[in-house]
Amino acid sequence: MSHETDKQNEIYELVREMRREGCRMTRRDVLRLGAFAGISLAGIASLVEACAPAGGNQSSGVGSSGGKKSGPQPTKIAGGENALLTYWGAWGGTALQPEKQSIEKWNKDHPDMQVKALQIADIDQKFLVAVAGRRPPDIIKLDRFMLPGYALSGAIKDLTDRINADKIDVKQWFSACMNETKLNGKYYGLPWNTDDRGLWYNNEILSKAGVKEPPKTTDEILRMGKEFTQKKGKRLTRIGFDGYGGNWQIGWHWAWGGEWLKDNNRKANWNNEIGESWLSWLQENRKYLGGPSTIDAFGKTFQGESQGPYWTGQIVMVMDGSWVAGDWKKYAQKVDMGVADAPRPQDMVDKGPITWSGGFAFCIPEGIDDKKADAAWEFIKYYCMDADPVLAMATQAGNMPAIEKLARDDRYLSANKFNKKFVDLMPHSRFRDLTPVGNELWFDIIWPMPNDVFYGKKTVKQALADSEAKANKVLDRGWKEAERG
Amino acid sequence: MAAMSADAARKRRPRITRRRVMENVTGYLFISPWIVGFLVFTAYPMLISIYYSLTSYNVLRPPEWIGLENYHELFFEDDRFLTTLFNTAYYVAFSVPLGLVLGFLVALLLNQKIPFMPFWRTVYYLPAVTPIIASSVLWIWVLEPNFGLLNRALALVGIDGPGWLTSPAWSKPALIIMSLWGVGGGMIIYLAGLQGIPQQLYEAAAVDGANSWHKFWHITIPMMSPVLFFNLIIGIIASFQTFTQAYVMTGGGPVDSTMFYVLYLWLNAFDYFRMGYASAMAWVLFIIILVITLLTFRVIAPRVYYEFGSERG
Amino acid sequence: MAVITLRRKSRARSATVEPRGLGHYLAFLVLVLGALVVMAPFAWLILTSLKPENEVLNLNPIPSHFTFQNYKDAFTLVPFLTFTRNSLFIAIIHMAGVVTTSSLVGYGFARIRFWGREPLFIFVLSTMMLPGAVTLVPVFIIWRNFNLIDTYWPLIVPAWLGGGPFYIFLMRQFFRTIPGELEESARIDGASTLRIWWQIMMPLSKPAVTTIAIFSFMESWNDFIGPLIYLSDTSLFTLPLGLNQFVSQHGTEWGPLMAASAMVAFPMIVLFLVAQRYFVQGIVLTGLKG
Repeated sequence: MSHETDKQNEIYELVREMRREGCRMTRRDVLRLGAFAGISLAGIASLVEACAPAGGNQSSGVGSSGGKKSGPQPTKIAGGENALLTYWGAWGGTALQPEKQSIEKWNKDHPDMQVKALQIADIDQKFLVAVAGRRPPDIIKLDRFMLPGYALSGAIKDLTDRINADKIDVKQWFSACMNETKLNGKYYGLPWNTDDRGLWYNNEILSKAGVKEPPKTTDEILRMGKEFTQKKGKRLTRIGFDGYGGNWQIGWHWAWGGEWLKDNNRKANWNNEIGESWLSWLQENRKYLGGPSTIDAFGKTFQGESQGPYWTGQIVMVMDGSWVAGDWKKYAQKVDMGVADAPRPQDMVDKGPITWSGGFAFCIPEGIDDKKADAAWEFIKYYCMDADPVLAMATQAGNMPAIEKLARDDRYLSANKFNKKFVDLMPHSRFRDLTPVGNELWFDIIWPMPNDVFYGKKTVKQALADSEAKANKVLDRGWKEAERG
Repeated sequence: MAAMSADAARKRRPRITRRRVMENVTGYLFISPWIVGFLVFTAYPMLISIYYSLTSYNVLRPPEWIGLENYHELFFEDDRFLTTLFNTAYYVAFSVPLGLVLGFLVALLLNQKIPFMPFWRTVYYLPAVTPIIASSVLWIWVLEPNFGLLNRALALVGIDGPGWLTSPAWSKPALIIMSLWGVGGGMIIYLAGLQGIPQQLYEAAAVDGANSWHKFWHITIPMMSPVLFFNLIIGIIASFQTFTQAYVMTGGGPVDSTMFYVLYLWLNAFDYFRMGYASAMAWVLFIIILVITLLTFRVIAPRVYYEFGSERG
Repeated sequence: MAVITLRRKSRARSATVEPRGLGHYLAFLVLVLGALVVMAPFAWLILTSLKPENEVLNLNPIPSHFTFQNYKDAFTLVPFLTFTRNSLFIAIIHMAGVVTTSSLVGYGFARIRFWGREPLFIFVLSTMMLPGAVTLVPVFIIWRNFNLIDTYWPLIVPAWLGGGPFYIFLMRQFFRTIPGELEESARIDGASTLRIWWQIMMPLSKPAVTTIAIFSFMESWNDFIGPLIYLSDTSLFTLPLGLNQFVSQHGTEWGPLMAASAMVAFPMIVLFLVAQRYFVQGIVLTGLKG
């Protein structure tokens, strides 16, 4: 035990010395610390002075509706501090202005039901934390395919009675969009927008090479993608065709004629010949691009917005969403871009075009009082059904209306030369199968599954088998919990 | 000691005075913030998390008892659990010993007669005061494959650097290299220890004809062993809980190659909202760290030299 | 083992009899090279942040002309001012809590004789070994049950409950070195223990208080996982959360990114340079307590 006391004594020694020196030095140190505080505050203040944004319109970020991180800006875009309602999930980028305008108009017309709109990063996670913490927002914009999960975990309100009481015609929306808000015959939200996907190609590069029209089959695009790919040493300088990039990661299974789930969405259904053929095909594409590390390294050189890789020609062909049209209009109208149907295997081409759709819905979280819920409902009806806000988003940000009539409205179709193409594709759209574990299933199992193959960690067969087994486990768990709740 | 306190107790017992009682009450009142804090934020949470670990609980609905199902899934069904354990062990196994040795070496270098010693000490220590989030962002840029500082430096000597954070093979080494950048934190402690070694020991050894190596091996190392040991333990515990770097720099990728244990725990808790499962993971981590700490004590503590203090001036 | 302070060290150094041979210069060279390696990322951070946008990917690390445009952009893209204010607010209240309660508890352990004091204190020290990840989930649930998610309470309250074993330890050790006569005479004058703590002990402990003030400020300023778990409303975000957000949204806009990162790191680096002595003392103390 003696060393214990010795050690303590040493510490006393140190502390004693600290005290002796410290007491003597305190005044100077206090001055220095004070100076630090003063200078840093002054520095911050002057920086702010110099840098304060003139207006609120210089934001950026591509508003993607399909990717996991539809990461908007962390700012309040409209509404005062004492607004009655808080709305989470406003978007940035091209969507910022139309959302702001529509909400400001609402606030002017409804002083008793003012809405404060916030942009929230990682909103899915934050939303559940907020509901769990009993501090939910009053209005939330959510990715529709995740609604069953939220509904089953008790995070959002059943809106069926409200829809019936107000005699809302649920048939005015694209039927699949409305269907995505439905669980066990009850509605949990109103669809706000939709989207679909097509083959975006840089026509300047294609036509310069004498290519008249983009490839229609998967074999063709694999070959052409290779021809258009350029490298400098081991590093990529141009991607001819990025099969796994853009926003189509889960689309190939459908393009090959597969179904992701079976048995009423209880069982996974991709560990089969269909899965094998598209995954091997995708692997081919990744191989000639130089493998995932090379592609990722190339991806790090992309700049945002006006210098995006599609406009610069760093990526020549890629499957991506209808919302890209909005960015094109804002940043790159001078670039000759084109949109075509998704390529399909030779024997599937006859079956016609295919695309997949997603989109967002407005919901009312559980845990807010009736007065607020009533007001939130009024706002949601305006925001999702009134032609003004819906078309403002559609024309300015390239967000396809989920209401069919508005999607076919001339104001939307004429706003952007690509819009008609995407609206015409809607009847061929597939939607993600609804399960209580949407987030885990689509984003953590299906979406990254091909990576195991690309990185050479697993063979095609292994990757399909393992991910299917895992998905079945998750589905099993999710449905069991759903039935219990 | 024991005999003494018993003796003291015997003497004290009859003197339970009002003043003694008051002093006891005052004492406990003074430490009451800690007692409350410990009970509310350590003891109770640890106990209740045993219960949570035996339930299925998403916070929104009441927890439901499922027995050992979470542990069963963890050990027998979740292959990601093993991946995260491997990744974490890999990281700990390299970053902790390398950091220890490197930090100690720098301290040895600094412990010589060098001009501007405080300046060099400051330089080496700066990474340790940089907020981890800021250094993570900085290192994303340093490790950037095409234009990053590291690959540019490697290119100067003719090496075509790997993709670092984009490569499953190099992502963990990249994070380890980044951790070595921060060895200054340990270095300062070693330096203090080194400068506290009584000069007389070296002088006496020199009289006995010992060379530098002998002095290092028979004086410096034994004298420093308690400090090194302490830092080893703290380093292991901290590295097992690595989170921020992976969360910010890689998100656990590519293909789970930097999915560390606590990151996966966090994901289960706050992304999938599987609080029960995450609690089970937390307890498994606690046991692992406890066992490794005890093992380290068993293996290394006997070699740690504790007989010092006689030379204090 | 005598422990150093800055002045003690100089004495120790003068006693060192090291031959200044080739090895010595070699060691110095290694030291300088190592320092260059350590500083290179910092230098690069600053240089990148001061480059014009079109030069960020250039091979030449030196900008053709220095510009603050990236800092302006960073401010435009993310409300750093709000984040700075939030961070400062939390850090100051956190710091006040740690200073007040850790010194209270430390004083209790140092000067007041109560039953079970020594074993309890060893227990306090042993909790330093507890991995924090273990209580992550249950503590979140506690705050949730108090309805205090998305407020600053979870980030502040623990600081007001002793602030953690390290601070308690440091204060206790310091108080034990203060001579008892002062207290005795104050007590004879009828001062209460609380008063003695506040009016006599605290003023005498300025260096220790400064040390823990700086450490606790920095702990709060740098905290990432706490705000990540508890804060959803972006208007409440702290600087680290803001920077994280910046990464996920503008991950390849290196110029503004480096500027933002510099703005988060800079206050801590300056604080360290200004108050270096207290850092070194505090660190030495924790490091050697083993």
